[in-house]
Amino acid sequence: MASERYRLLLGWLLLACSGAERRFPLRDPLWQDTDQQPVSVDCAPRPTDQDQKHRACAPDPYVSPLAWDAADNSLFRPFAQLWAVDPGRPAVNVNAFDEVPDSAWFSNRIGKKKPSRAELLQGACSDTDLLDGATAAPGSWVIDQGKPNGATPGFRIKVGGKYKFLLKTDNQAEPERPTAASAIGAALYHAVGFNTSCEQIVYFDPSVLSLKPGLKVTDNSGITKPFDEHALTRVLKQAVHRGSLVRMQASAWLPGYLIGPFRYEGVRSDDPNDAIPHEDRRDLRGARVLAAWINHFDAREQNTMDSWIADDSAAPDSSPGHVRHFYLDTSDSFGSLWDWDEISRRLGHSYLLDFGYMGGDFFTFGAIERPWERAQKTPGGLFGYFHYRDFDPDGWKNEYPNPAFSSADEHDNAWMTRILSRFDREDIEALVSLGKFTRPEHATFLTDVLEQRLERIVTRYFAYLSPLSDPRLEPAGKLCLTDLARRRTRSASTFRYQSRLRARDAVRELPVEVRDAGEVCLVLPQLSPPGGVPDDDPSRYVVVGIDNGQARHALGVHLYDLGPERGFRVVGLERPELSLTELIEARP
Amino acid sequence: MKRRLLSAALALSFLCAGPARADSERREPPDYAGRPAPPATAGEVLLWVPRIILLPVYLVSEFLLRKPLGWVIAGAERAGVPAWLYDFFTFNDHKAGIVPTFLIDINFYASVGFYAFWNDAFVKNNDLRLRGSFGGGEWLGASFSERYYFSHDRLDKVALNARGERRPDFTYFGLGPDTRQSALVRYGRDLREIQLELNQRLASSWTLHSEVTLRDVDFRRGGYVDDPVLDDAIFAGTLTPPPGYEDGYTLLRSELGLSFDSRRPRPAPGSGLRVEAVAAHNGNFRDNGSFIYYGGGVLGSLDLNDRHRVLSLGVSARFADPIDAAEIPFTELPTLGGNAHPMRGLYEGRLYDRSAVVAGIGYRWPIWIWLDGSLRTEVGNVFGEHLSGFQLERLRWSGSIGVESVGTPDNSFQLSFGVGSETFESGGKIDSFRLVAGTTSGF
Repeated sequence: MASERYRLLLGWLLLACSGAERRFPLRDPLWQDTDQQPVSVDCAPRPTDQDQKHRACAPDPYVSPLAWDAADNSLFRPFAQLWAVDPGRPAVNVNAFDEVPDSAWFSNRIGKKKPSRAELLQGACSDTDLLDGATAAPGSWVIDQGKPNGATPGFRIKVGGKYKFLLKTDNQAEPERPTAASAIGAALYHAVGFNTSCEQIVYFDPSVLSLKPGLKVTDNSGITKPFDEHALTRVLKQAVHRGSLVRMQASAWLPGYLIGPFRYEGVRSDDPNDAIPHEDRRDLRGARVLAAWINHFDAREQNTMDSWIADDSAAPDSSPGHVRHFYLDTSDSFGSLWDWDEISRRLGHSYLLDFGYMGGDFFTFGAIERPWERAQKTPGGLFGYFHYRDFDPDGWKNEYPNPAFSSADEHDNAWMTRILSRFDREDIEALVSLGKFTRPEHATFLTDVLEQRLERIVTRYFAYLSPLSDPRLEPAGKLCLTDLARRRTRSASTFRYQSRLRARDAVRELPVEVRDAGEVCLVLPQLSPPGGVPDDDPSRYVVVGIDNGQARHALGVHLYDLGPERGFRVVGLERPELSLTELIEARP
Repeated sequence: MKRRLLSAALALSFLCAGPARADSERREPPDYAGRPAPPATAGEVLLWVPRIILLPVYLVSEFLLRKPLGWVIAGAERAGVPAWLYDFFTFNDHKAGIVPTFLIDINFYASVGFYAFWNDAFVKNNDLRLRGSFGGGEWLGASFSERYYFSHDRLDKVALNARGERRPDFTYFGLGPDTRQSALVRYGRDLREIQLELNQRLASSWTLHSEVTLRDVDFRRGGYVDDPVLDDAIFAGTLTPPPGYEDGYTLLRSELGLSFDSRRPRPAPGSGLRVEAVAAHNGNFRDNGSFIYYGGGVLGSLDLNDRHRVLSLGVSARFADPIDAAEIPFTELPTLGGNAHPMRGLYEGRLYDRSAVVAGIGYRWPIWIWLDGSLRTEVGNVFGEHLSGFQLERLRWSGSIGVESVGTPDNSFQLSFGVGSETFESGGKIDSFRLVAGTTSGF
């Protein structure tokens, strides 16, 4: 019995050490996932106010338990995972180019093609979503519902009889920041590629509002009160004013049939398209870096939403359809303050209940000075402790652990960094303008801090895995890539490129042509094998390694040499934790 | 054994599978990269060893702890139970509420209880507090406090406090500096007390404290597990009854205290100096005797980096002198040990005599938003009248380490481990261990 166990173990070890070939197939990389195919869900009774016998053929709405989510992620899940001895695994939804295909969760936008300024600013808003308080007719925004709960007051309006928006004010302690953070954050998340709600700042004269009679609203304590003129006046009094104009944040209603937030762990059991555990999705993992950039510490499941998009738009809860996943509510970003300063200073640096730091501080007797102890409020009083001082992209933490964020590895973080590096200062400035700050210095400050924080992200994550990306083939066998690190930096002279090619066990150096805007190109020598071999024959397989002299590891570009007439075809990109020499000497 | 584990895992996985209402088959994810997965590394293979060994612990933590708790708590949340509980236990615009409490002090009976608060009760700046504790049939405690703050400074207050306590597990080791831990005997005590207190800030760092207390105490047979009982030791003639034990006492105590404290509350740095002096006259109605109790202390604190890493050095002394030939009840003598007195590594009531002196070094540092780490080392002991018999070799050592909550002292939390020694003259051996967890009792 014991000897058989040892033979089994030896077999495993031998398999582990074998050098089996791992070639990319001869095909285009997958850029479109399959999770938006229509699927059907069993119908179940779901009475509505209008129809007590109504049956819905959509997934069950999920109600997120706020307290349990915090307790589970802070304590019980990490405790159980400790005993699972599972150090984590690579993300699943990664294509041959080390990128994420478009899906119901994510669409490649700025990472693939720079949007126009108009597209950037429009974000997730369609033309009918855009409100203009200056031109709205008196009484045209009909209030048909008070805001049922939450920290900031507001109400729902219907415009043109069909378009619904939730209007919210800032809180008096932090005028302009929460609404600006919602609008800017939503546009940022959208530009990166996530599905978001349409958020915008509107200034309007109260005369454009009209109140539907007989409205009631239930507050956080469960007490129901009328939402009448008196209540409306109280809400408007809390808002920031610019002269006679009221400033509020308008959130357009999401499309489809809302079925509650998505979890950062596991799959939705009643969504047949949801086949990848959420903690293993690169898009959700990489969102950690985006959240760190803007200090969106409130990135928990309650700030997400799933929507069932039925094929029949007239019957929103009918089958077939598919689920689309949205990010919501970035109003905590850019320096939200809590009632307790001790908590406010820690946001972004530690979890609310951070056993690691507590234990570390206890056993080191406070010898380590923590970043929140040095935190200083930003001048002007608008952005709390939001700054680039002490910003550590690796060490950034949200309120409490998030399974996807906790699973993010170097590759996931580097993926998001590649996307974020496409934002130039002008793009950031334009997005900050969506916040419609009254004082220009607030916009300037926010732009500066965001740019500096992005610089730290880029410096950290482009120093390890290769930042080379966007492979493309030019005529005459030229392979070109963009060095996203050099594209951003002013000190281009510190980059030293080396490249080598391996084909059919022969290795040769390739000269690298350095162009502007981070571009590098190399001429691939024609090494076609003798005619007659199939296109995907191993003899056609070529690996090009390239190193930029800054990142610790090299990039590997995998190609097939299809001969002098058809040229090369790029089939894969990899960013292994290997130097150029190790990469070229390793078998694919 | 392996088969049982596998069956259990399979059964649990079926049990925990959620409802699948999907009509369509779950999609098969595409082959995203098209490239074969890399072979398992030796490290990945070897990970299976601890994984299998720890599988039972994982199954328990995941399926017997996490999943059932999640089902219960999440279900309760969705049913609105927490909101209902919050409204039930906190009311009146959430200025009032009740929270459960507990206290575990190893080698004493554990207790559970409640702490109720009502701020701005009836009028603004008038706070009510009520605490109740229960540790078994012979262990009951309750205290009440009504305090009125007569200025914006929370130090300026007049308070009416009342307390009742019945406990069987008090400890007595004899009187004097040379008592041994092995001499422990247990006794019970019933206490009833009412107090009128006035605190007032005189100038920026000076505070005057005065109180008048009526305290009624009776002693009785006590016990804890198999520990010897004081009554038995007295009956056997191995111990003389401590002063006041046989008849109890009813004291009227008038106390005046003056303190200077230059330390500022957080977030200000914790450096500063505290000097205090206290004097009290006590009249015992039962034997018409009276005595005075007095003492003082100095504590210097240095915030090492102005970020609340505070090193403190202090010395304090307490004295009790009878007037004429009055007997001072032993529980009113200067004492060391327990949570409310210096030298926390020793049991409460470990040392009693006519005078006490302690010098110590403490260090406190922040570990969380409302929790500090705390480290203390002290030397001290009790002695006869006016420190007669004082010798350095007759001092003892006490040390403790733990965490304490920061903020209101009414219901603060502590978790600490302490040790205490016999006198240096006797070898200085560690003979006392304490482990305390819970919220403080009393106000």
